[in-house]
Parts: sequence; C-alpha cells; structure tokens
Amino acid sequence: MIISDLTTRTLAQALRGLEAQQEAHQQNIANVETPGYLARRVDFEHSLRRAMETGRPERADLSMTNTVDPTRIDGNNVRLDRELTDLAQNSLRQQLVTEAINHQYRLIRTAIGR
Amino acid sequence: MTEINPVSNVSVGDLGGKAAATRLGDTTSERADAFGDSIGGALRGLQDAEASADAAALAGATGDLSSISDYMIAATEAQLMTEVTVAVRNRAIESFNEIMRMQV
Amino acid sequence: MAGTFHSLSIAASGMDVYQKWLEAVADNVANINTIRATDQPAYQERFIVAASVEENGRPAGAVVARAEFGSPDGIIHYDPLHPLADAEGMVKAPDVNLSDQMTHMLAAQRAYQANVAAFERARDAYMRALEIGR
Repeated sequence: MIISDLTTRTLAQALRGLEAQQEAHQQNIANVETPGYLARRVDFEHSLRRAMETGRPERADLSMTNTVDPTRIDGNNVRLDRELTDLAQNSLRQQLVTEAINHQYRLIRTAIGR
Repeated sequence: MTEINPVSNVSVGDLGGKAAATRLGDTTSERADAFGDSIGGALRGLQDAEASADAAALAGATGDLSSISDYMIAATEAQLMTEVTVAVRNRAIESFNEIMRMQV
Repeated sequence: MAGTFHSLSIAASGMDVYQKWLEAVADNVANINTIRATDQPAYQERFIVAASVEENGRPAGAVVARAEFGSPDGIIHYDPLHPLADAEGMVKAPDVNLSDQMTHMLAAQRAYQANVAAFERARDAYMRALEIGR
C-alpha cells in the first residue's frame, strides 16, 4: 500500500479478513451435507486489534480453523441458518469497511483540492 | 509486489523544504537541480504505484488475483498518487517561479 | 471459474452438488413403482455422497464424491396378474421409501437454495469491491 497511515492499512486488512470469513461461510454452505465435514471459521478481529495496536495491522492472523460444535449423525456440524445469517452480517460489515476506506480516499482528494 | 514508497515522500512540505534549503547565494541552476530531485522522487513514487496497480491488473486478467479489494485499493492509490503528484507539481512550479522572480 | 471470484465458484460448486442430489431423488421417485421380474435386480435407490474440496490450501467448495446404491434385492411381493410375475406369481419392487425420498428432497432443496443465496451475496460483495475509490 502507498497510503501508509495506520487507519487505512488497518481498514484494508479488515477487508481481507472479512473476505476470508466470507469464503469460510461459503465453504460451509457448499458442504452442508458433506459427511464428516466440520464447519470452518475465521476469527481475525481480535488478532487485528492487537496487530493494529503494535502498528503492524498486516500481521493479523486471517487463517481458517475448524469448529468443534457438536456434529449430527453423519459427522457434519454445519448449521445452515447460522451460516446464512453470518454471511448476511459479513456482507454488511464489508460494506461498512469499504465505505470507510473510500472516505479516507475522499479526504485525500479534498486535501489536494479536487 | 514492488516496494512502495510511503506517501510522505511526496508531501508538499518536503518539496517546499528542499527548495528552501538552497541558500540565497546558490545559482539558478543549483536551485533548479534541488527542485528537480524532489520532483524526480515524487515521480518515482508514482511509477511504483502504477507498477503495482499494473501487476494487480495483470493478475486479475490471468485469474491469479486472490483479492478484488487488494486490486481496487492498489488501483485507487495509483490514481490518487497521480492526482497528488500533479497537484504538488503545479503548486511547486508556482512557488519555484515565485522564487525565481524574487531573485531579480 | 477463475480463482479471482473465488466465492462464486464455491457457491456454484454447492449448487451443482445439490442439483445432482435433486436429480437422484427425482429418479428414485420416478422409479418407485418399477416392477421387475424376480430373477432381475430391483431398481436401486441412488444416493449422492458429497465431499469438500481444497485447492492449494484454500477452500474450493464441494463435489459429488460418489454415488451409492440401495439394495438390488428389492421387495418381493405377490402380484400374479402382473406380466412379469414368475411361476409363483411374485414380482420384485424397488426398496425405495417415498417419505425418505421426500426428506432427502427437502434437505437437497434447502441446501441448493442456501447456495444460491450465498452466490448472490458473493456477487454483490464483489460488485461493491469494484466500487472502491469511485
């Protein structure tokens, strides 16, 4: 990134985290009937907050882990209703972060008088 | 991704500072050189930004791009760098001309 | 689909798997009354078994791992007037239970629709990402 202030870098990393979360939800929904499949999730918020506090938001952990929720008879533990509502919420959060990033860019444009 | 220079390399303050750092006794050509260095640095920063945006666009075209937002952020920042550089250059040229007029 | 719009291909793979499920269930229901002679295998119920896919450590949706089939033994019952009846008047019917098929159909339909919704969400998210900086 060129724009190197902490806010913009953190926002960009948050967007990457939300995209990874979206992929996890998509994968769970595609595999809702796969025997033995454990729902995946991405928990990046805590890691991002700590990474931001040290000034290096790029260090946030965006990796996917398996959940340990109880499984059904076929070994699958995906809860479809939960995945769909989480996906909807993820969408809204992405919109929010995108708007915040655009706001940063608009500030720069205003500063140079455009 | 290529190494990107932080935007502080092209802040107006830096350019003003470099021009002001030349002493009154410097010849016109010496001041022009210092000024040219500043603009050159700004343009290199812009080139870096455009290179990374180009690389991301190419990755998108060949299906290697893993994050749309990364590409859009790189492209927007390249665009912004252009706008910042143009604005800075215009204002720098104005100040430069003023300094030149003061000498007479 | 290219790796760029990755979430779309994940959702599309899900739609594909549950589409095939629904086809298998439709087949099973269509053949629920397919009578065969007792020396023939019965119509066998078809199950679709899904598996998750990964590409380079990244989730890549689901696929049909294999089809499984029910028993070819079927259910033998007395129907002497049937053209395929054997010497004892027995025929072979498929061992397919309609209410089981309905359960499978509902599960497959729900999963299919969820993947359609997920596809649309992914598409909208990508479209918004393309608006960054505008």
